[in-house]
Amino acid sequence: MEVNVATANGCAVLRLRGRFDFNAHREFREAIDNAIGQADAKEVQVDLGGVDYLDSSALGMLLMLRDRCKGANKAVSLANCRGAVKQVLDIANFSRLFQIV
Amino acid sequence: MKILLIEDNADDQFHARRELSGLGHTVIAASSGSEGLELYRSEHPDVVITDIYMTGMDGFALTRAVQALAAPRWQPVLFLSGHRDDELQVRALQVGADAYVVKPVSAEVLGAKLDVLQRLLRMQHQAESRAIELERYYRAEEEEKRIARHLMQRFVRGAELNDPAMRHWISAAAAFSGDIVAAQRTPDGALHVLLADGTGHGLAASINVLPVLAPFYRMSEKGYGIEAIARELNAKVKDFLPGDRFVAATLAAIDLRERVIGVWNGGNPEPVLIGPHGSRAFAMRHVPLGVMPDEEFDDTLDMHGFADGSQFFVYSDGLVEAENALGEAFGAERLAFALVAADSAGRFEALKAAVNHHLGAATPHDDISVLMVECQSPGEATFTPVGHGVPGAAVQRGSWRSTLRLTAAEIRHVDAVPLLLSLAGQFESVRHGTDRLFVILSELYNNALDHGLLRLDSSLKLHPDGMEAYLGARQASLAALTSGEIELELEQLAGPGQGWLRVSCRDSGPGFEHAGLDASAAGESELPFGRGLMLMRAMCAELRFNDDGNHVTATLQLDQHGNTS
Repeated sequence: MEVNVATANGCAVLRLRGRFDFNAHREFREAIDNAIGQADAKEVQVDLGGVDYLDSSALGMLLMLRDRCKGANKAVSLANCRGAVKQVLDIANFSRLFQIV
Repeated sequence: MKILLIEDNADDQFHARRELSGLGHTVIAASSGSEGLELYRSEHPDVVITDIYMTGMDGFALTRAVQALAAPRWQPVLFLSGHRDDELQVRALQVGADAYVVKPVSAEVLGAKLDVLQRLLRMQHQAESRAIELERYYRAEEEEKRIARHLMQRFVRGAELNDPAMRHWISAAAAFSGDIVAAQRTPDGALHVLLADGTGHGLAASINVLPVLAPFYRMSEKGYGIEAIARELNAKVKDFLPGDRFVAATLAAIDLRERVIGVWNGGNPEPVLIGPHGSRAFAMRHVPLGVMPDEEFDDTLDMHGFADGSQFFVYSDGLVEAENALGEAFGAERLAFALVAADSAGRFEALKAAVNHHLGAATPHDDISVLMVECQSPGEATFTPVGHGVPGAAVQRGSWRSTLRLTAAEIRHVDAVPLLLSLAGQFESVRHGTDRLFVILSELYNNALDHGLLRLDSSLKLHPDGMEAYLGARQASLAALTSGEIELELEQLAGPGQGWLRVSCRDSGPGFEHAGLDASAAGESELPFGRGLMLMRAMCAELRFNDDGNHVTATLQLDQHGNTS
């Protein structure tokens, strides 16, 4: 999975492409470190528009991101959730945990 | 290296030996093919150097024999030839020789070619030792898996799953399933089922899921409701597992007598109830277990009534996501079709067949689990009326008495019945009689709560969807309860050669008109106590109401072994 971090308007956006599964653990963690480390970004957003597959390990990684953001006092949101990705997030009721835009 | 030299010409042999020793190698010499073969067997040389043309066994035949003996390992063989002949060289290399040297042997050429062979031998040795180590790791891991599988099987109570009312199917993606299916009957015969899906699959996922089993069994056995069980499992998972791990779970309570199913589902696809009147999904969704802290945990249940002959299906996402060779998921539509198209007798098998057919030769990449419960109300429980010789004046106080008084705030949160039941179960005199005690306590407490405090209207239950409407109203009223109290008392009494357990329940409500109740009235009664009253009269030696009807006392006989008989 490819991860790309870009900051604009005080928001660090993690753009993900490909399969978001347990193999993506290291890239995702590095990207989180990067995003959280940006002092001028008060918000972190995960753009899932390019993700074609999401499994339970990915949900776990998103939970980790949520905890880290809470600890760093930054807001977190998920964007561009479509198709299979949206389905998985719905079943797990993640709209209760994340702001979904 | 140790070199076996096979050369029938004495001068050539002498010359070759000298060169080889000069290069630092140990030489064993044979003067014929057959002698060479013998020596090969006994000496196990690193390299074989052989002449081609010899009387008897020639170099080709010798090489073939040597390679056959060495197989599956590789034996380096070097040919010595008096002829600089390409065709001969090709033939030699084809038959299994690794190098071809022309006589008379030059030390440099021979040395260089032997070095190559030595390098290759070292590589072979490395590959072999790596293979041995790999084999050792593999065997150790298989052994560990065997032990873990054994442990896992001990944790899951297989006997409960073999209940005739249920069918289940688990197809693991790896040697282990990260999915767990469990069932347990409560003391009054309701069925609790659990389907849990840990993050990932394989051994790591199985370990994720284990912490939920013991609390599920223990609490169900004690009569706790699944709201309390879900809350406890959530706390356990949150405590035990790292922050990025959670457990998707479906908990269901199937009350076969009242014909109602209550479901808590967080993270699994929605369970389905399919019956003679069509199918319904339990669509309320929660967040999976282990994510929410206790104060934010939502234990609201989704309730549906069912008609006899219905079937309740619970399944993990592995079922819906099972992919065939083309990467197409089995999907919700195919699932719905498979369920609806079959008749109830063959439905479970039809679903399995549909999934296997879809998968074809492809192996599932996630565990598949399905549990089906046959929803059929049992015949009216026939409790033989008991209780002769109601305690009279000769009765004395027994060993213990316990009173529990709850006000509105605690009534909303505390499950009083399992509490008292576990207290009573501590005493030798009652230990084996807790089943009937559970029914009595539940009946008394729930009636006090439903009719004394919440003022619910039982006539609701009589309509087709009435049970759901009733329970919905109950949930709402309970959440809004701000005043009132219920007092439960348990006391053991002793008489001549006899023991009794007295259970009394007092509520702060207005009571009800009990004077006209007739114990012999069969079937559903419109009065609040109705069927429950019939049950209690059958189980108790004595049942008394105060004038208002808000204080009920039931007396159970204890036999010599502490059973309520």
